[in-house]
Amino acid sequence: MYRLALIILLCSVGLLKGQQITYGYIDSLSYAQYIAGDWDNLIQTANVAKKADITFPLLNMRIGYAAFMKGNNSLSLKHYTNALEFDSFNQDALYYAVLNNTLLSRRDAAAYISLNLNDDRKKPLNVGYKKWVELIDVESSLKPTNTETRKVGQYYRFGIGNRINYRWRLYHSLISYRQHLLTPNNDINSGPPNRNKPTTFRSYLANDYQYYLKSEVFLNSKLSLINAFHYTSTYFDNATYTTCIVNIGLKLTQPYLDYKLELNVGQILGSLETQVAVSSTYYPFGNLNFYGNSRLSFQTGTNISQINYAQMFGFKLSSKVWLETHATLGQIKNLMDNEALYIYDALDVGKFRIGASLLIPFNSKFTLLTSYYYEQKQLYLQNTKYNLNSFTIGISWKL
Amino acid sequence: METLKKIIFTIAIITVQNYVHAQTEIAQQKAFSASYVAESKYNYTEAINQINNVYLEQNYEMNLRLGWLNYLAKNYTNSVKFYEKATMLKPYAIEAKFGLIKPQAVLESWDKVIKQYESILSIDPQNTTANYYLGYALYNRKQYEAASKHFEKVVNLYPFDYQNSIMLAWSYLRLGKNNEAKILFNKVLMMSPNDASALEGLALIK
Repeated sequence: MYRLALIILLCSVGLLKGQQITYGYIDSLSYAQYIAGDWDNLIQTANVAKKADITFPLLNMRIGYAAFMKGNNSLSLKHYTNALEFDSFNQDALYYAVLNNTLLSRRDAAAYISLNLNDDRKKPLNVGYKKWVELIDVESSLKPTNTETRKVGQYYRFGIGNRINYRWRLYHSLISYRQHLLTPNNDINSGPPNRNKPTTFRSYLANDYQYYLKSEVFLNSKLSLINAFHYTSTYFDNATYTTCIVNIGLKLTQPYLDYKLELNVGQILGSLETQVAVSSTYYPFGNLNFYGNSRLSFQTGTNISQINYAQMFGFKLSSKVWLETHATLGQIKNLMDNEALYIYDALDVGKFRIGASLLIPFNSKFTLLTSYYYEQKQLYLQNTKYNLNSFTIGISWKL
Repeated sequence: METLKKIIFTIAIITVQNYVHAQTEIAQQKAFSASYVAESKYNYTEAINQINNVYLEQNYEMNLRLGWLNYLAKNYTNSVKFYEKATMLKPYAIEAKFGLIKPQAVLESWDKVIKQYESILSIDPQNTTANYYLGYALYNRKQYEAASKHFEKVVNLYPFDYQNSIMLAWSYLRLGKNNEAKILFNKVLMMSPNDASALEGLALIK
């Protein structure tokens, strides 16, 4: 019946005779397709309208809804954003724009858009409200190695997010890392090495206490400014060393991808480190069924110059489980990653790293994270390589 | 003799130019006339075609007319394009801006509608229509403070105007200015006895 109506419509407006495509034709056709739930053809109609240079808010709304129903959140977001350019208070467009951003795990972008959304629609989405505690997350890692001289590293992190207003969010983290290291006793009075005499080791404890603060401010609906500060106090061999890293970044958010340019600068154990990085997160199918992140960084410091490339791909394994595979290539020495949240300033340089994570959301509030990575490392001032295996478990709670 | 030749040549050119110009004007007038006839018969396609036959992109009147006719023909996106051209050709003409608002309102392009009203008020700050509708649009967006300023302007000019008075009263009520709202709601009851909206507002204050 719907197909018949569509043919009649096409004939009546003369399209089949090759006549001009008008607003009336696009409006009628898209409405008929919308009512019939013919989402695929409705999305095609968008292309016809675009070629004819016809655009109007209701068309964007219809296509946005069609894309939403097809599970393409990015395409849906694109059309609802277009509709909002005509009317920034369009409640339906705002609702779905916020929802699409949330479904793409872009809570900050969702919060920014939610400004003009009425409370009755905003409350169920739980975004954009000033909250002293918006997020709590904890993670813990154990990092065993296959060398006797490097004991199991223990990493603990507690994070808390505050939403100051719809455009500004702060995130704090308290971090602790400790690891025992053994070095052979080099007693010059003991003579040449003797096979029969067992080597004795001296034990050191490397103990880090860290504080991390990040601020993300949306300057407009597409551009956000990120600033972060990471302070580390390291106790090692009866001495204390401090590290301060400052991160400045600009992020451009688009429906299908975002780009980030960042600069990390700071002192790590007396070496002035400067890192420039470009990265992008992308959703080729417009959703979290498959997504990726690529990051290329160039870092210089005292006696150091390294290029790193990090690649992550995420897959939805089932309705409740996501798998992320990740690899970091290039020398890992004092590497600053994830907006300076992670600073890999271990004594031993890493050669490369590869791993995988599982993300299991229990519900809309709690998500479990388990992660594993393998890293090949080289003992400090030696050519001996060893393997490090990192096992992480964490949980995040969105309030 | 040479000078005489030049004078005669110049006069001939001017005469031809005037003749062509006059003919063009006559053709345009005829097209406009035929377009009005077609419009009166609700034949908007024909009315548009008549103007299209003599259409000049830089002609304000033609763009304005095509904006209106496309609006009547429910070809709103085209209507917007022609009205926009007209507003660019005569930036201080508020009639084209009011014309542009019509298809934009049908298309629910409220941001653009608001922008046009603001543009009109930048040219004609006391314009009562623009003040009322801009105030109304802002009220719907819950921007009561901004809305009340526009209603106030009209109420100061026309203190016995029902539409602006009732909207100003509601704006005051939303802003928590209950005393001012009460006075205005009572005044509205003089303009429109037993007015349901005014009585509803008064009931909320009590």
